[in-house]
Amino acid sequence: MTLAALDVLTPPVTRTQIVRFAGAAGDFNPMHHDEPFAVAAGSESVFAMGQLTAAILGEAVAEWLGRDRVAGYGVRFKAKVLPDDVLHLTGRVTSVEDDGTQVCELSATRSGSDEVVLTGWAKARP
Amino acid sequence: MSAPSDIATPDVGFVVDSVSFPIEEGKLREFAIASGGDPDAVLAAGVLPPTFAAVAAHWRDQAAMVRVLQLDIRRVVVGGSEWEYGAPAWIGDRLTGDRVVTDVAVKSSGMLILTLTTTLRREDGEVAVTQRDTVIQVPPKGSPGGLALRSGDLAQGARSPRSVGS
Repeated sequence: MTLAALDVLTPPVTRTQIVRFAGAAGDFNPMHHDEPFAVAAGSESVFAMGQLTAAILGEAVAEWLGRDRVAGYGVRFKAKVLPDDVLHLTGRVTSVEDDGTQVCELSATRSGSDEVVLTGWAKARP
Repeated sequence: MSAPSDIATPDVGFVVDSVSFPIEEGKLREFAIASGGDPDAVLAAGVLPPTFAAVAAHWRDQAAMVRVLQLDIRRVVVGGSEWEYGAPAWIGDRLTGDRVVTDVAVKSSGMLILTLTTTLRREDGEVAVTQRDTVIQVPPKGSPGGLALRSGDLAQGARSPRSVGS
């Protein structure tokens, strides 16, 4: 069975979403929610946790592949995601293992600049 | 190996810490919304979101992790994470596991790369999720190809609010 590629744009990442994720995942590094702190530390603003970007892509991948089919998922963090960034999430099946497991290549880029913020992979059970 | 000799390197097999947490409906709903997902779809599916094990941070002391690994918190970034899913786990299950050093590499630049693997088991002992995190300590003053500290990721909470915020 051929699976259509994943190709979606997210809503803009917001400070509210970042704060929601801080609470959800328990990451209270002030660089992610305390604007004066982040700016004083040299960042242009607060920025998303890598795990938030991983979760956004992971959620899209689960919808794409089917939640009960995801056997593995991995990401590498490449660049900061800032408030108002729209992410372009892509995925495609690159190979099929002997047992029918589909191996997928994933990426998240900053829409507009096409800068890669995250690369990843997923495996889907047959 | 030409790596600098003054970098503390843990042994492979070193147990960093242990964690145990319940899978809760409210936390699942909160996590799904924060991830841009449809919480009703997630709850109806009965399958944990792929990165849900991140909530273990609520039950861990990340500052202690940095301390026991003798890392310099100012230079620590998380390079990536990956998850493998085994036995199903859902609301009502409790996941328990150790975080173990499973790979150690020191580059000639002085960059230290650790792989930390957490194997989360259900109460019946079946492995539900295996999570591997790549923790990087960049050399002082950065290095070619190294991540700049502030553009890197601290998603695992490697830098605790206490250590930087107050």
